Amino acid sequence: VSDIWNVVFGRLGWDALPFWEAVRDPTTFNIINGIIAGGAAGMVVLGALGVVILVTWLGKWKYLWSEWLTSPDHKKIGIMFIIIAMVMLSRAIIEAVFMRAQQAVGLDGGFLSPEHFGEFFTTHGTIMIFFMAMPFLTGIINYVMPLQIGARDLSFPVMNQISLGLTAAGAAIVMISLVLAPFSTGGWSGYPPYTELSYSPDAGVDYWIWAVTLSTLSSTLTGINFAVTIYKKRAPGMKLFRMPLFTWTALSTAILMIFGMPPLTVATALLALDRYLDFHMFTSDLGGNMMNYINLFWAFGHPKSTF
Amino acid sequence: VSHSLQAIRTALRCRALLAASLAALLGGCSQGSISFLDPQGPIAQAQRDHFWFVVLMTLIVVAPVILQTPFIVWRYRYGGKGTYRPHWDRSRWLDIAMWGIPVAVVIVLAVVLWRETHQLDPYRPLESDRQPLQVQVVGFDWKWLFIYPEQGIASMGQLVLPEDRPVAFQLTSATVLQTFFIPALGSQIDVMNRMVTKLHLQADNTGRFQGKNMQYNGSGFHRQRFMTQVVDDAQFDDFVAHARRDGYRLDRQRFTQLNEKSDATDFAAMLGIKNYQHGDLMAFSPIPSQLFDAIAHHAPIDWTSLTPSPPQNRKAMDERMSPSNPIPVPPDAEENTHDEAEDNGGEKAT
Repeated sequence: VSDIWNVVFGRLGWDALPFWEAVRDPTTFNIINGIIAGGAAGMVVLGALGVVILVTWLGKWKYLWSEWLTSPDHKKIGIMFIIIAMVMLSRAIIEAVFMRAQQAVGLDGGFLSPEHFGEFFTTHGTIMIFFMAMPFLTGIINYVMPLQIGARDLSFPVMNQISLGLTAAGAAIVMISLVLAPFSTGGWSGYPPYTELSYSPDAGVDYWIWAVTLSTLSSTLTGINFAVTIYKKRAPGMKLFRMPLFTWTALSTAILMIFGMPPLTVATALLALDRYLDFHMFTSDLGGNMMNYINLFWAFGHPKSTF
Repeated sequence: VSHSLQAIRTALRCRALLAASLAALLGGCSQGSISFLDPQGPIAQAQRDHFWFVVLMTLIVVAPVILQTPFIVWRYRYGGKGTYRPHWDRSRWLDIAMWGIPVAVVIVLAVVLWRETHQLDPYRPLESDRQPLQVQVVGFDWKWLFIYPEQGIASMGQLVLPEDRPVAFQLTSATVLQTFFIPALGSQIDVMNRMVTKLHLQADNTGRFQGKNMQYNGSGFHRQRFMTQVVDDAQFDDFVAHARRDGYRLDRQRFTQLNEKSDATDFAAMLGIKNYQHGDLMAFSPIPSQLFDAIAHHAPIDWTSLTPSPPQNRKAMDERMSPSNPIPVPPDAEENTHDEAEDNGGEKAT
């Protein structure tokens, strides 16, 4: 039986349930942390169920599929980006409230375990950057910019759909990590060697790597799409210096996305090679150098701050 | 600039005093000074001055915007007193001011930043008529070990420094990336496994100053703090003598325990110290020679150097251990300890 379990579930066990520690060792402290984590997981599961039931109740599956999920319309994709950003923002705000509450009473321990707090600040940072700020920005530009320059759509509507799908998948991974814990505790910057297998052996960093990699791929494609649209799809007479200021900021952002995002995709991909294929890019032994990660990360991070 | 800075400094000192007394009221003096805004050394002081200089320079641009925005919004509101001139789009003097002043501010900031970045380079030794004290810092999960190579001692929980004497730090990590920071003395710096970074600081006043790790490294991160105890020269000599007399032997077993994930309080419990409080001193002596280099370069540690030398040789040994005259590792010693070091490597990897 255990062999079959291993084949199907791999390392996944009961301890991935966020309240497992409270069941295994029911101290008051563990129960409080279990209730918080379990409540969050419950919200994800109930929220997903609620959406499924609501759509079924309204009989809107076909409409949702053909009018929205498979639509290449830049306005609809923009709205869907913004919906993702708002869902993720609501989670990040709740996390921020918990972190501040912990800090208010945390001088001699507080109510959150250190691991739990570490996951809070990592998911909060990761969400606010990759799944709130960027989808929100992408959504607004998606909706507004083609209208402002008189384009019918972005230059590559299908690539726009792919961008949305990548961001949605990344956001889904972060949400799933609430149900099947843990998430990374390495912070939104994920510096090795702490995030290497030898120091963070559990699945948390893997969640983080996949979520961030998908998000950065999405943003690179989006940047290309925006820049090409602004250069090539302007209506007759819409010269560059007649463009509205917002489109100019969209162009600047797009250029920064094109050269700012790939370094982070590369950095997280190399970190994944370290973790999965025993490479030594950023390990402290066998020729690895953690500074290379930090250089790549900030080759992304400084342009990103300018978005 | 230096005149106005002096005035600001005086004004701020009063505020720093007020802040310090507030902190004392709230947290108790034993917590130690924790802010570079209340500097206790030349580096922190220069950084505080730089900070306020940058704030003031930025305010030249920011303050008019913040102050005039509500004024302009009010004056030119619908039905307000401001003249309605929809075709107005150019004012030469306004353009010059709006572009010229920020450009001037950026130029001044750039020049000052460039100069002070080099002046405050952490690798640059401080000017002083006294020889700098050498301190080697090793970051573990989740505690700091301070090695005094010239004295042949080490400490944990408390970093004891003499007042008015430059300190030359060499830093490394036995585990993941960490950041070493004593805010009251200034300059935060990364410590990394297999790499050595340098930092030069000086404390002008005696006192207790909080030090900490600023880079998250696991569940004990928030407990990785230490107390910087700045004392006068006589007390520093007392500390060295005390460490040599009563220090714990830093042998292989204890070094193995150091590499385990635990904070300074846990380590004190392992040493058998009762009632250990955060910021208390744990002193170690003897310690293996060249311990820092061995950790930084994953080289074998020379445990044979722990064998107590006769008391009359002590002074000679101290002289030999000065950094200008490092002890050469005897070739046979390296061979003896080879397998031990491999044990160590194995422990680190797990």
